Amino acid sequence: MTTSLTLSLLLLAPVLTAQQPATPPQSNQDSGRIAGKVTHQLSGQPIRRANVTVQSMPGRSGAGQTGSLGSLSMPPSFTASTEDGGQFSFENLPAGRYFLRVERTGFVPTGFGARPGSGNMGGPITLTPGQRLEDLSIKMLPQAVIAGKVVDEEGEPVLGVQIMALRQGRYRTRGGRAMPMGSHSSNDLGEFRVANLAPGRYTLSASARRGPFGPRGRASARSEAPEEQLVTTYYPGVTDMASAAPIEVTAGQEVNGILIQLRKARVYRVSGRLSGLGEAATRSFVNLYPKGRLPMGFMGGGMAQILPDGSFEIQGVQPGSYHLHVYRGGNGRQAMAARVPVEVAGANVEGLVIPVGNPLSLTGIVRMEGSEESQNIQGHIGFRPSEGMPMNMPSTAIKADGTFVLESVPRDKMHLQVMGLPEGLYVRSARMGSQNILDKGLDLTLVESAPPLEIFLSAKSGTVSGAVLNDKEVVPGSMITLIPEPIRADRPDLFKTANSDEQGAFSFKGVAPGEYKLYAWDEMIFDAFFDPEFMKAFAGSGKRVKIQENGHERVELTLVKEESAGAQ
Amino acid sequence: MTVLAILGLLAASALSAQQPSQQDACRLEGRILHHTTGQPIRKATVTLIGAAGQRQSWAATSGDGGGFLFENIPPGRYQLAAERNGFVRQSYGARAGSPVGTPITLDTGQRMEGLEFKLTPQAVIVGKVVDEEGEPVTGSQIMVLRQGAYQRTGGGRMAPSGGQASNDLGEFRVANLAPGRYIVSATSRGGMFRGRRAIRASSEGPEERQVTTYYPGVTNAASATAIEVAPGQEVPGILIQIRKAQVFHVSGRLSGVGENPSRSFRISLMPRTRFASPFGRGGGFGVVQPDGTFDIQGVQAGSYDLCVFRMIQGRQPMAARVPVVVSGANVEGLLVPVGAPLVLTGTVKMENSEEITGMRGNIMLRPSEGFAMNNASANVQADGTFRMESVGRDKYSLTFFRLPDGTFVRSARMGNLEVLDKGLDLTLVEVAPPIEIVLSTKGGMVDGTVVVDGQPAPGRPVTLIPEPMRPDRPDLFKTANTDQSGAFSFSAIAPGEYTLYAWEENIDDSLFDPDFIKLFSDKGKRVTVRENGQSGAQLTVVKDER
Repeated sequence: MTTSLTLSLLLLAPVLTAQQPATPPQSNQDSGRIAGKVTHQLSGQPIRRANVTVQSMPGRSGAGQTGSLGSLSMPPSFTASTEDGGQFSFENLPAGRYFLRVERTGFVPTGFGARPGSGNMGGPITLTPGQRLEDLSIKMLPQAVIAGKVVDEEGEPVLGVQIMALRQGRYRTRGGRAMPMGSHSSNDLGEFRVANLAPGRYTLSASARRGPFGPRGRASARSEAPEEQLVTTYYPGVTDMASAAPIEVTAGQEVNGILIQLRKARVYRVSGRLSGLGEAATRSFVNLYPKGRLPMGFMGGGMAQILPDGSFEIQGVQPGSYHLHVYRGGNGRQAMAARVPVEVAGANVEGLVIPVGNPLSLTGIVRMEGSEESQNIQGHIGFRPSEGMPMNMPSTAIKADGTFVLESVPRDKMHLQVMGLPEGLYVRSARMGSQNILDKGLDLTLVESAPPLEIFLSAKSGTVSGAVLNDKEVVPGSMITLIPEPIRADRPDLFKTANSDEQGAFSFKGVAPGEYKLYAWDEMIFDAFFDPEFMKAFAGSGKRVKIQENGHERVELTLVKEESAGAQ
Repeated sequence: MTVLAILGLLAASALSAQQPSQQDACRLEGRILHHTTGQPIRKATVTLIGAAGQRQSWAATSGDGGGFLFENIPPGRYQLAAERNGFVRQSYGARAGSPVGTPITLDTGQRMEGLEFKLTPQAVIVGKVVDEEGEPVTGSQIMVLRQGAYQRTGGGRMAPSGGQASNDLGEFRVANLAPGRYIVSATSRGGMFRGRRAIRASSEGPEERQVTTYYPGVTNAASATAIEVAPGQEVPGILIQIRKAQVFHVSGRLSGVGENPSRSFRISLMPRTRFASPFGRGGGFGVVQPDGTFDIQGVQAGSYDLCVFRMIQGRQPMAARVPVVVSGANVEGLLVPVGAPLVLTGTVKMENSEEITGMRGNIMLRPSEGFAMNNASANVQADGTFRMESVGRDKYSLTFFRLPDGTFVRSARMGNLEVLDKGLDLTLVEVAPPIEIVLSTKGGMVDGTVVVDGQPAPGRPVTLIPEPMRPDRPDLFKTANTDQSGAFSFSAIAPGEYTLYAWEENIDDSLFDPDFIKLFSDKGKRVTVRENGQSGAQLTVVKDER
């Protein structure tokens, strides 16, 4: 029985993650060609048998045959293998914008125009109808490898430890996140090997499996000794990421013999009871997330299922500040039913009593401002929580008549995020009943029911375009962020990101009129741009623009300077 | 992305716990020992897991003498499991390679002592995956499949025993293997940027792709070389050269799918086997274009079911299924009708009683032929009603789970059609009349023991199979494991003729397979179950004598 279950799950997986349309390119006169060559960045030698993938960017330009942002389907993509001379070509491509990526065993995967290891996908390539783009040059760097062994406090190898190589980003000391660039699970000899690394400085984290894979259940023979557990440990053997010893690797280097000794630390329990879940209790669970942004590799929280009487107990919790999320089970998606802050410091947290609201659905309509027209507006309605991690957030497509229904929305404070709107449209205002929710957000923690949402769009948006230059050289593949000025984390709809293309060019359309700052980043900064503290450190590097209704601004950007080592 | 993955992992975790504060709490004490040397094993993680329905579990670590202790455990049925790096992860009383062990029953206030739990040292298979040029293949998915006791008979099923991806040197190391015979397969994942269905830039000539390859380098599992491992043995040097095979397109159009089929449907090509098989090869999946067309690429020659899944929140029921045979050419122009989804409603009631209270259960529709996946199902409400949405157009058998204790399904009718025996044909109906299901408490009981060499045999699966064999009546098939004294028991059995079999190890879905069961027909024991009757049998374990 167990076996057949496992198998059906395996077979199920491809369907659930079902991907692309596999439509072959249509032969017609408007179709174009992309061709080029892949070479070794250091030796200049051609690289054969590299896999080159072009993926059309979603929507808009006509290349995306399906898919708008946030929809389940992904735009089509095509793959070719390089020949002996490193050449590749794609024929019969529909006009559009494409991402091009290359991978080859032994080399760092690279996007066209992206700096290896920057985390960027690279710049988009624009193909006009019938255009033949020849001679694209893609350079690959040989991968670095970090290999070693994980042992416990007795020096015994530990199986199944998740090893993550976290790249120390250029903007890290000001709060930028370390990027996980590779991970590997230790084998039964405790050995690990993290390959595919770009040159750079890495912190290695090791997290012993627990919960789902490790020791499960509670200790029943309770000893008086404080409970200790193997916790996330950073090379060479510290529990605090800031004290970790970075490992520097150059292109093609293999660093062997990295020994990580897992540490034990005092852990605690968080327990309590949920009221109002009723029969849904046994399908529900609680999850403890660290407050603020999740440090990569951190596994100090935990989760537990809920017993029929509504009680729960999370074990093995490291000291820290957390949010306890309650997810209500039901058919399909598990909706967040409550969220409470929890502080764990030196003692078990017991007797939490958490009231849980009934499931809530939201309905609404999207209209054009002025005309009140609501037919055939494409887009997705979603939310971002005001605090904490955006986990399991619902989103839904706008129907042809402009209405939308969101089932089981989180019981939380959230901000509206409308995605994938037709070009040039922006959200002008949004109301729930008589309440302005665009500026103020929605608070669904306690309401019995929610009045319908009304979202007004405007076509009087502005455009910002420009180019990224460094010492008069165009910079493709950098990450451009458009950030409202003053920064407003409560208006996620005003933040936009794009990558510069092969000419270093970028453009934002559908921008709400107002004041903004533009930044060009040399590497991916994830969602750090929502963080006012992080952005403050770079305030001088942004370029201010004022967008008028129907206005068009052009700006030239330079890359935000990376920090010198040790800068604070 | 990473954060999401972490959430997924955490969500997958299952077991929680609660303080049992009863007077009648139990205690279980035992030792973890080395299977062959009998030496105590320390630092093993021992888990006591509540049987189905109980959501509690307890964990302990064995001490220097191998000892472990569980205290304050509520009475009930449990599985005991132990793991220790270097040893095979094991359930107490389980046969080698079987995930199911012997349940431990703790009676009120019981103090069970001196339990010995022997762990087998793990075997390891180590090797390397290369492509046709001998270059290492990174990220190739390695599956190690255990050949079951009945494998050579052509029945039974190989159980995946371990899997991992090859590293950047093409190397793999699959540990934690129980002694036995294994075959090893490697499946190239087709690049890190997978998730995108890559197609070839130019389409001249037959398309070839790397396909699932079995050690030492064959694409057919039946021709694979098995690797036999002893306890604690490490087998190095298993070199698998990934093969290429010609692949084809399967394309066509869905009809009757309404607006926005891209968003509402997914299609999947499943190898046409009645039962899930790790050897299902060469299928594929794809999305539906806005005009209803689809194109699945990279399909190996073979027989398939093209399954259409309707994307509704949280669940993807099968909306249509058509058989497809691929041999030597692309399959084009398939027209797949996807009828409007049906809603099935119905009532579950007790025989000779009009009053319905406290009803429960789950009703599932299992396709009468082809692959069964994402079957439509519904929970029965306390008032006996159930409602199934988005039921696909197919022929089905009814299956039941978690019915009230002591009941069996006496009859099922849809309108005035009998559907329990005859099945449910929804291919053409416009509207399905309500289904009425009648339960009875007058089932019979079958119990007995399994003996091996005159000794009671714990942990053996016993199957009760209707006679004559009726794969279209899955509700009549039952499976149970013998307990620590070799005893088994089935209750609430529909009256009729059955055959009982005791097996060396779990045979999974093969119990529904007439061809497999036929091979052992003389090894079974016939029983007649009468209303409220009781039958018994002593069984010996079926051996594969080929």
